[in-house]
Amino acid sequence: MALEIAAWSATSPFGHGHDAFAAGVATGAPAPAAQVSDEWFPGPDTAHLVPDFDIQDLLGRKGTGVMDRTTALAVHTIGLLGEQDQRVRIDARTGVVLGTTSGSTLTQFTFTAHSLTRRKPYLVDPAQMPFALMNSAAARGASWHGLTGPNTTLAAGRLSAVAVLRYADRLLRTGRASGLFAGAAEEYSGPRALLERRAGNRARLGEGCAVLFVRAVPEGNRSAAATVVALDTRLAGDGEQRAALTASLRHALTGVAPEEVWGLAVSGVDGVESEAVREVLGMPVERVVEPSRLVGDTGAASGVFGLAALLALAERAGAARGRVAVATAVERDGMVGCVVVRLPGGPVGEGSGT
Amino acid sequence: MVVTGLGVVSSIGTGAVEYAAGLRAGRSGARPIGAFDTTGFAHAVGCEVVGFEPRRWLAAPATLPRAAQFAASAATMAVRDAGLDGLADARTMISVGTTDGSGDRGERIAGAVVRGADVTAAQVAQVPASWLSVGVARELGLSTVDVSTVATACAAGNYAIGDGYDAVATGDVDVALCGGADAMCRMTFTGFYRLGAVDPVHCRPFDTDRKGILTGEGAAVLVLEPLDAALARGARIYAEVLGHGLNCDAGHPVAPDRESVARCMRLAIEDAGLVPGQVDLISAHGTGTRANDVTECGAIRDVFGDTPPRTVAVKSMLGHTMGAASALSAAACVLALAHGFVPPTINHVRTDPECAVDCVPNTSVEADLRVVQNNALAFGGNNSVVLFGRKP
Repeated sequence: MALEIAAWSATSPFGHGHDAFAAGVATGAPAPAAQVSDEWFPGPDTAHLVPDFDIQDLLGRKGTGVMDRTTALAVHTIGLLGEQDQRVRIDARTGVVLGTTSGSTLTQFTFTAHSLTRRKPYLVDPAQMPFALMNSAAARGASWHGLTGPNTTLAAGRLSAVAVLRYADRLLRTGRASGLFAGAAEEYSGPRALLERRAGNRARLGEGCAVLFVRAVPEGNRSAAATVVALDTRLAGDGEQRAALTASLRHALTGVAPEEVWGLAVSGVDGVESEAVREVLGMPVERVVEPSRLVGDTGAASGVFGLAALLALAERAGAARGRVAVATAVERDGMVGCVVVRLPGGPVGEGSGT
Repeated sequence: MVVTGLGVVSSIGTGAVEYAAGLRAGRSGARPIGAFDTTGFAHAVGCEVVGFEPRRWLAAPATLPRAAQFAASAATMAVRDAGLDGLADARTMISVGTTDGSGDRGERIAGAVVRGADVTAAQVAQVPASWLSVGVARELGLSTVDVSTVATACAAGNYAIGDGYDAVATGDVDVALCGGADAMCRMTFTGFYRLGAVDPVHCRPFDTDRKGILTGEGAAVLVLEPLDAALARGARIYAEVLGHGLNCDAGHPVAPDRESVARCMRLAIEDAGLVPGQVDLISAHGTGTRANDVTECGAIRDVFGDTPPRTVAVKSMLGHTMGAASALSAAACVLALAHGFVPPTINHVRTDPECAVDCVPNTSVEADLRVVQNNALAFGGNNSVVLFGRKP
């Protein structure tokens, strides 16, 4: 690994931008939730939605007529990150790598419903088509902000943080990209609620987008939010996710002393991830953050929200300086994984797994 | 780095041998669509895979969506074709490109809700697009493996192969299984139909009378490994992977950008350490739509001058298989290099002067090929170009 997180931003149920998310995470109290209901999932359901997120108010009218919320969240968050932070430098090789579960389920279902219920099956809105594709958020994010470098969408669900960072690392090491907006977005919608509830997920759902600006670790000193030192994924057999995550953590944390680990962000709510980390370290982690309790289950965005939460807390915690933070992820398809980052402010350690 | 295994599921032949025979014969996969109800459409021809028997390759196909069955079957074929007994000890990556993922499964759920029918846990379990790569890992019994489902629409196969190339070249993995897969779905057909971009009869890229795409389905997976590793185990080598390039138009949502497409080709050629004059054949994105073919051929002339290399479109045979398209096209490039022939562009009558390429109409030709270029363009301006060379 040779990747640094130069800066980050988020559009979340806590509000718009880095500071709103950091302040929300610092309080430790969940963001406001609202009752929601639509034709796809009458519910009623309670969800953490991004406040004040009117797409046309935020992005203007051009190109937004049928834009899905996932795409809008990504376009908006990339914009916030570019404006907010002078460490984000853009050239022709600056690109975008975003994670998703399956794109905008609402757009896909609406398009299909139009075809099935209108007078003729082809009386669909062709302008919706690009937004029904999974690459819409990354592609529109690039066009909105003039990013002509590599532009990739990875459908990794809750493993998205690990997947996009692994992919981004390779693009940076090979010189194919100079810097990357790497993150993930997930919208709340009735169709998504339907799929999650039918799959047995009882967590309160949320939505949002978190984006990191990553670049190759430079020679010499430069301020960064964190350095990615290791990541790992495993495919677990049925009922073996905890064991697989333990193996993954052991690999990624090779050379890291247990007391060096300051923070942990978990993707789920059931305690499996915390237990695996405790087993590997032999001691509890000082600071554990559960983004799903704060902003809801944000699906593909959950892992990047976890990293952002750790970075936000570390910015305000002297005890975090120079230490290590871990974000874990578990998905229903059997995939497990983790990202290990070294926080700034202290000597950069040598220990890393890969 | 070399290609030592191929797995193919396609409308013109399954397995590397049958697929190569189909390409050489100029076989057409076009037939009436049976994957979904086409009532109300004036025409509905597509390139479906018929008679697909996943149990020939897979232990538990029923739990996987159709596109993941294609991907896992192609991957299993590719591993066997490469003579890799087991991958348990190798550091392996699996990267599968796709446009629609499990979109066909999502559509059925949307349809059920519209009808007021129940939606079951088993149905929703198949929807996440991650299954296309995770399903491969599960079928191959791999745990410590890097998996990616690359969702860069219709260029996704090349993106996956490009990442596989980088993963092997950097030493991150020993073996990469990479390609693309998609299953026919109503959404893609309906969208292109609405845009007036589906040909009523067959797909005829570069032809004056072309009327658009035919939607298709299938999968292709390539096994990539370092040359010395392939030689050390005495593996059969199909071709070399020379390099790749990727970029983004950052422009129009659906219309390709000639200058940006040209830039992507130059990036790939430079990455391979070549100059344009060394490319013997281009397997074009070549969809058969008016916009794509003119823009792509213009970009080709910008890079190669007024006498570009032969430029063929295998979509004339396979239809547009979406995320599988550039993977199937890559498999065609690899087979062309290995067997010394150029697959034809079928259904061709008269070349559009605005395209003006030698598309090798209707009949394949023998050719001594050294370098073949595989183009892929996607909605959203996601371009990727991969270069293959004759085996060293």
